[in-house]
Amino acid sequence: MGETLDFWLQGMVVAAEPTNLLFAFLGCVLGTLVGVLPGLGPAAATAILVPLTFDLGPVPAIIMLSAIYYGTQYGGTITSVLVNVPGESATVITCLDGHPMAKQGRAGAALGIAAIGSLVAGLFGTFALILLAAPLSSFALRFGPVEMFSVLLLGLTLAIGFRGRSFFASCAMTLLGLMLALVGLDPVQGAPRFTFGMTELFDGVQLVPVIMGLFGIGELLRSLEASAPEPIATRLNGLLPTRAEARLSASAISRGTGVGFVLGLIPGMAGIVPTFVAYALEKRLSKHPERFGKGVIEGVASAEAANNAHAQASMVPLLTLGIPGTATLAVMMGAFMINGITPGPFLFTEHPDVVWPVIGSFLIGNIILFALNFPLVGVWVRILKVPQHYLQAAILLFCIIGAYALRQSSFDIVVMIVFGLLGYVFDKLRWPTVPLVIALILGPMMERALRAGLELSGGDATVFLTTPISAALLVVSAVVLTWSLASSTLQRKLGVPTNSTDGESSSAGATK
Amino acid sequence: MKDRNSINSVGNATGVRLQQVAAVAFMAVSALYLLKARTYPYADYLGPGAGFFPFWIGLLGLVTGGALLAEAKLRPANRSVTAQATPATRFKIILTVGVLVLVSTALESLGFRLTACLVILVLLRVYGSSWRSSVIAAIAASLFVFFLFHALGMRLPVNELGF
Repeated sequence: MGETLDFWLQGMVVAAEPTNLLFAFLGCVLGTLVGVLPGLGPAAATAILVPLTFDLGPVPAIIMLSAIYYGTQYGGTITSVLVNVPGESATVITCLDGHPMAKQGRAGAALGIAAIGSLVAGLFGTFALILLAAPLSSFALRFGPVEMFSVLLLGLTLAIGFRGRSFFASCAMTLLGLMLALVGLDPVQGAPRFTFGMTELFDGVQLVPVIMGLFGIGELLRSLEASAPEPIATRLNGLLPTRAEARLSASAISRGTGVGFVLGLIPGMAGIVPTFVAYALEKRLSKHPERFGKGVIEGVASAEAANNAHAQASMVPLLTLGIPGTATLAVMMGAFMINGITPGPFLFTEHPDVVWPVIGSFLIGNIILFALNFPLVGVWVRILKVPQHYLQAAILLFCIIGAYALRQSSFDIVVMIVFGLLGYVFDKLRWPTVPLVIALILGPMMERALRAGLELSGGDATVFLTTPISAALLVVSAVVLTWSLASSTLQRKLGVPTNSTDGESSSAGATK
Repeated sequence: MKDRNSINSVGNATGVRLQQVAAVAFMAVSALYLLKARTYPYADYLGPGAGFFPFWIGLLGLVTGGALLAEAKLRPANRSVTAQATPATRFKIILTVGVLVLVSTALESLGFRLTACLVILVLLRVYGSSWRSSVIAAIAASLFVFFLFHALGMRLPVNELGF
């Protein structure tokens, strides 16, 4: 514990250097700016800002991206409250009471309590992450290739389990991601596979053009079909809640933080689950549950606290196990890897000079975001009025740069176009794209672990069942798959609708 | 004019057909992947070969594609796809993709600033902006973005004329 605190303090010192503070600040501003714009979910928003970080060096790049990540979350809250368009599925719950509050002229209080709740949850989440990450990482260091394969398989099954309404569509997208992940040079023998003679594919299908295509171009093509939603015309009369509202919100924030953090530790847990659970809990405990959905501040407070706590907690499986649970974290993981750093058990031992300043920046970023958004919320509201076609052109431009700049290759622009079209088609089919991205990232690691495990066991596949940790993880994977198949079947039989396919793209609006 | 139910039925029928086509396409991709995987060594003296993992992924893909096709045939009437594009939006989508394809071929020869300027100009006009706003936005955005990324240390292509 003492050693962990020492590392963290050293990380804070690096994170507090003027250059890194500047990048954290820029990330918060850009993230909120892009997150505010309706039509962009946090994954797309983060993806199109990734190119800004290519040449910064690993620590400033990841600090900036982390700040962008938090910024887009808060930006999404602003559109949820003022436009009733959730930036991501997790902020659907914020719409339920936030937008009615805005219609009642209490938009300022809604945004203010969202900022306060997010700050409290962010600070708690960061401290909990500091306490948990290093011990979990140490435990994961004991994993050999057999256990690693099973952990990664669990990550994939969780990505299947929490996404979309069709179990088989989620499976198909995961398998498609794995197929793409195996393109390139064989990791053991070095011979090209599935490259069809194209040297551009020797390094495999690059993650950045895929992300730009699926989340950037795909989102753009979708937005061409929809008219821009109108923000509610309201004056922001103060951003602080009343004393009574603050009292009601305090317990809602603490409960939401607890729920969000605990559930966020589960890899693959979509943000809407903890926010919904926190909201439902608050409604259950309220003396006036009938007021929920009509503009109660506890509804906004609990949802936002849960959302931000979930965002912090989901960094734990990413940093310690290398499993990104959401599309945005998959983008973050891609950014790590572009900078030569692979999240996972070895991150804390091999790159303490990177990971601890990044964790330190989480604390600083949350404070900067809070301080920034109180004075600037009026600016963000004005930005909502920017005509949609300027946004669309800007998305296109950043995607082109993002795809090209990685390897200075026009081939990657072609890859981006292909995946942009695929993203558009997948959206039509309601096939979730998050499992594809996660499988693309985890696929090569899975193959290496599988082959190494089988080599060590002399080709005996039962080693995955006879090794205790691996067996336990495989049992959990089987349970998750069975549960998701059963719930998918039940949802279809009951005719339960879903608004979004994978919880990371913006939807048309929230209803009760 | 068709009533609401028949419009929904038409839309749903199209959606179900699209799901079936997608399932068959996925099966075809998986089958080709599996066939290609068999051309790589399945195992060697070291252990699993280059074709080992792809073989099983392709096989699972084929099975999953079959399940998707069965699901598409058995789905209830109200499970379909998202809204269809109108002719106007279809034009915007096709044009946007066409512009992107042109960018991929012209970016390195025309340079970033000129390419970006032309792209933004064309797209803003198609998306509904006026000529004046489109020209101003195109020039301003292409220059701003070029110098922003230059300041961040990233080189974007320039043409032989130096811009």
